[in-house]
Amino acid sequence: MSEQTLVAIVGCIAVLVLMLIRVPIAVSLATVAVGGFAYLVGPEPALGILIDSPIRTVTNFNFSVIPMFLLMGALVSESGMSRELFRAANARVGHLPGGTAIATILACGGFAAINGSSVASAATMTQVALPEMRRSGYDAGLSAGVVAAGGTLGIMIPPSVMFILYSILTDTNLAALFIAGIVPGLIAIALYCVTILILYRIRMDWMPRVQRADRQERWESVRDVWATLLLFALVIGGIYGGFVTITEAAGLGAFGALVIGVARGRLNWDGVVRSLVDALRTSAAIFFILIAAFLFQYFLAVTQMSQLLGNFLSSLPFGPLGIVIVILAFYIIVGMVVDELAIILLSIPIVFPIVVGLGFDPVWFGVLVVVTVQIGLIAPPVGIICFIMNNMVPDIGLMNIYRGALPFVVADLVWLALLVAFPALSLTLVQLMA
Amino acid sequence: MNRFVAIVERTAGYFIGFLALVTVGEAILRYGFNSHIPDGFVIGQTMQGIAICWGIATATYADRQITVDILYELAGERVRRAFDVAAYTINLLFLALFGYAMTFKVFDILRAGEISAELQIPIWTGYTLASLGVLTAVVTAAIRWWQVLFKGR
Repeated sequence: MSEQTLVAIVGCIAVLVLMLIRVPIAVSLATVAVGGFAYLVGPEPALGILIDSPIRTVTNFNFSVIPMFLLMGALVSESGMSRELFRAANARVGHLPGGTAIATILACGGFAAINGSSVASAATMTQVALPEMRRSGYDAGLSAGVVAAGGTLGIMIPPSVMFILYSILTDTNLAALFIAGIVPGLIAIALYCVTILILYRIRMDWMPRVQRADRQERWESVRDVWATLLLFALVIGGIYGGFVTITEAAGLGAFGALVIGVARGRLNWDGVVRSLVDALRTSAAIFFILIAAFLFQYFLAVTQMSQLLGNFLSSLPFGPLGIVIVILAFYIIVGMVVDELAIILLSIPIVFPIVVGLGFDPVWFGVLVVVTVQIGLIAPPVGIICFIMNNMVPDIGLMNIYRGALPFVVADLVWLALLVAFPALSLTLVQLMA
Repeated sequence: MNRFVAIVERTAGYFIGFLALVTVGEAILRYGFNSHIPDGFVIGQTMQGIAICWGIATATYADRQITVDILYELAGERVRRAFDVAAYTINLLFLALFGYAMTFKVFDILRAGEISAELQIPIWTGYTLASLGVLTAVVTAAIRWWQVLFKGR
């Protein structure tokens, strides 16, 4: 075994150990990257990458899509648009079997279209939809599972922070990734609704029927959804139509959310400042990880880890698609115990060249990676969204939340299988756009 | 200290707001009037850099960096303490090195005497403000390290 190989293996183990002893993900990656680079190339070149790379990352104007989309999400959350979406969906379908749960999924899907963060979506819907489901007599664990699953839609339906990170790390066209996420996102919504209907068949007592909203309520609630539709059209319509660049779309989205919120009297100065601080906090955390991920790429380059792993995977007797399935299975299994974001940032620079080298579409692979992240967000024992919900509504209990989320994890696996088997589901809209 | 962090966060948040305004302003001027904000690109990227570096400083103090908590949640009190000591020490050491590198970068830019193309803004001003953010992160990491080691919180 060569020295580079040994350092590569030790480096990856060191990153995992550091993360497990709760060193921040960014610091774990960056420390090993700089230390490993210094060992193999020398301390001065290692200091050189630390001098140049981070400042290039934080001042890269193309990356401004991250704070812009996060600001847009924070402003729409502050404006209470999630509540309107839920009210509209519930007024339309709430009386059907499992109706309030289906309304929650639909509202989550709508909210995901104007908010790129799954955690934010789940946290918002926990406050909006969960109390309504519980008031209607829905099983608490199931209700929490529905909100958790619905929340994960935030990273598939554009704009999505996860797609932005994948695009930055792999240099894949972000507009294409956003457009590729639309159909898979709609399929996920459909699968979640089917899951609810199946659960209704099995345990009707978990989801008592509620009375249908009157005509006036149905009309008034739907009328309020115009703001969400307008923002979605402004951002995604602008990107799909090629009218604006993605950075401009992100800025317009944030500005549009501000104007709409203020014009409707839903946003005051304090709310705007809260949104700015919220966007700053998340942006800083993500950028710090990006800084580290780019430093880690230097380490990967000097250890030639990608080539090593590529050679190993190519030697497996599975064929190209089999290798992709092995990679996805690795993500799902490891993602159950280690934060998905960390795994993706650590491994994408390694596996991406392999997958592209096998002849697969980088956009299609990006969609699949995001699905595995989505599964990791709610799959036990680490599902971060379940943890967050447990903090927000501790009386339900973490195990109960996992029980409620589990059927949707199964739905996610079916969804992933569909997307692997039929790449056209992800790529048709992209080809139409091109 | 909490008050200081709140003020810094609020100020850095305004920079994110300005970044949004610059982006929208650029788009409106470009598509509507075939014009642009002078040095809009430089101003935007500088504001972003400053906001993010100061955001890292406040996130470091408020323990808002993204971490993997599974083992920590399962561990007992003594193991947690050992994890904390190791994690905060490594965090401080890395940020100290990062702060040194950023300071080096500022002097590098200062020596080069770079200015923006249209408004002739010296580039080092933005880099200095950004590097001050990283140096503040070193200070906040040191405060947290001291609190964890000697005050147990």
